[in-house]
Amino acid sequence: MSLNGLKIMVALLSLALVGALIAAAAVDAKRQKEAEARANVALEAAINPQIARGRAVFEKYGCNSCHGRDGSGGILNINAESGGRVNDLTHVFETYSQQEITDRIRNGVPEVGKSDPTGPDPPLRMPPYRDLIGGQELKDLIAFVMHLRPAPGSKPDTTGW
Amino acid sequence: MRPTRVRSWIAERVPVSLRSLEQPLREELPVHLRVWMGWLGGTPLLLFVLQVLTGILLTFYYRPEVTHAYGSIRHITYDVRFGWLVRGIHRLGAQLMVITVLLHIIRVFVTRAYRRPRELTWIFGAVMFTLTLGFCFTGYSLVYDSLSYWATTVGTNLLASIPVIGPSLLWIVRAGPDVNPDTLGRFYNVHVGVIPTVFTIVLALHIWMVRLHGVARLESDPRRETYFFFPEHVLRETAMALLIVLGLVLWSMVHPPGLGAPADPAVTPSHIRPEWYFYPSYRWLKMVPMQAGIWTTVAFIVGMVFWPWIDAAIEKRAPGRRIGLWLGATAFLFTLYLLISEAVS
Repeated sequence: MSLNGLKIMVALLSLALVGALIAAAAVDAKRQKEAEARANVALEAAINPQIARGRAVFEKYGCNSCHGRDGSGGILNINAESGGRVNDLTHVFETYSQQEITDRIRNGVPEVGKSDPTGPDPPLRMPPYRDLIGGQELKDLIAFVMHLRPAPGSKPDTTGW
Repeated sequence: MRPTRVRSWIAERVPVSLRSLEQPLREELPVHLRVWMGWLGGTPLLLFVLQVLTGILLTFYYRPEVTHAYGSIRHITYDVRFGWLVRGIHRLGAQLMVITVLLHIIRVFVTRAYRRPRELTWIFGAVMFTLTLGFCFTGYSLVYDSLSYWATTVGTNLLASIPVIGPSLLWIVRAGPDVNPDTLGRFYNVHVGVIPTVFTIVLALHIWMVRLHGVARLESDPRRETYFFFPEHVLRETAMALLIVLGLVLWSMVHPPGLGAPADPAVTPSHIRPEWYFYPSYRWLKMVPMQAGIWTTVAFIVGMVFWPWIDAAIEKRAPGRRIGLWLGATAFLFTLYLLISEAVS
């Protein structure tokens, strides 16, 4: 390889390294968020064990798989009135009573409202957990859901859950 | 202060001619070094520097106490900003250092660049290879998760099999009959203090020897052309260095370092195994009786260190038959077989 070819190779590799370091910074930012979330969970468990237990119930029964991590935003649910997604749970504390939440968990949501009345039915519905969650687990789960809060700056959810 | 006055101020205090500094850069190298294997001479040096830099960053957070070692590694890996990247580069850099030192040794072996008068250059290289393995062994033990703890226990147990001095040697390495809280501190000091110091000295001697004798010419290459160390070889080494750092960063992103369960002296994992670079000796020790395994390993290391004289003796008895090369190739293939057979077992 000629001297100029080597210089070009060094320049290209330098650029690639800068690019890789920028990508590494993005990965690091993501890992920092996860670390922060873990620290919050640990803090939360130290302050209020019931909420920590409720989070464990939330994950044990797979609530997070539809409602998202920390109930902060659900997965795609085409034509659902809640913006085409499963509801996030961060506004439950201001719109529902404890009894209403209990009923929702026990009975599920057999019918999800449509965003476009002429469109298809949203494919995802919340199943009843009556036979699965009860007693202390139910109390812990409700405590967890009631303590959820929207992230600073997020828009209020006006669609219910 | 004007530039000329700055120059004269420096020249008065550091009376070294710039021309004398330029001279090493104008060193002429044989053209066979243009092949990529020839660029690997500087790579272990680069990796050593990288290990020192990342190692210093890791010491900011690592705590070499039994109660805190595992937690501090977890903190580095999951909480500290770019901790995963620094640890990833350090961990993978160590393994790459073993590979590049080995490739460099293979290149020197095949080209027979160790022959008179370069025997000392070879010996310093062989010592650096042993020290690199020492770096890896002591470094792995510092992680203090279950596997690293038991790898340390099993690895140091081997010392006890050495006749006469074995038990005392084991006691010195472990700071007691078993792996105990003081062992970690001892390994930490050896890893960050003793080995780097010795390695730096041996590396300096190695480079000094290379500079004294120049790069050996290939026996089989009749070409007499040369090229300058600067800028061409420096550019080649720089390209290799950038490629390696790039690879380390990308690999750490794709496979960030993890951590096993914390070390528990009461619970032995079902499958204890050293890191891959110790597979050949580990496999060998499983295949033959312990005493035979240890003595053949020692003989292998001694044979490697004193290879220039052994090869010269063989060459004297059977000139031109390249028996040394065949012996080396056989040893290499057998080592590779041991490594692979342990990896797939």
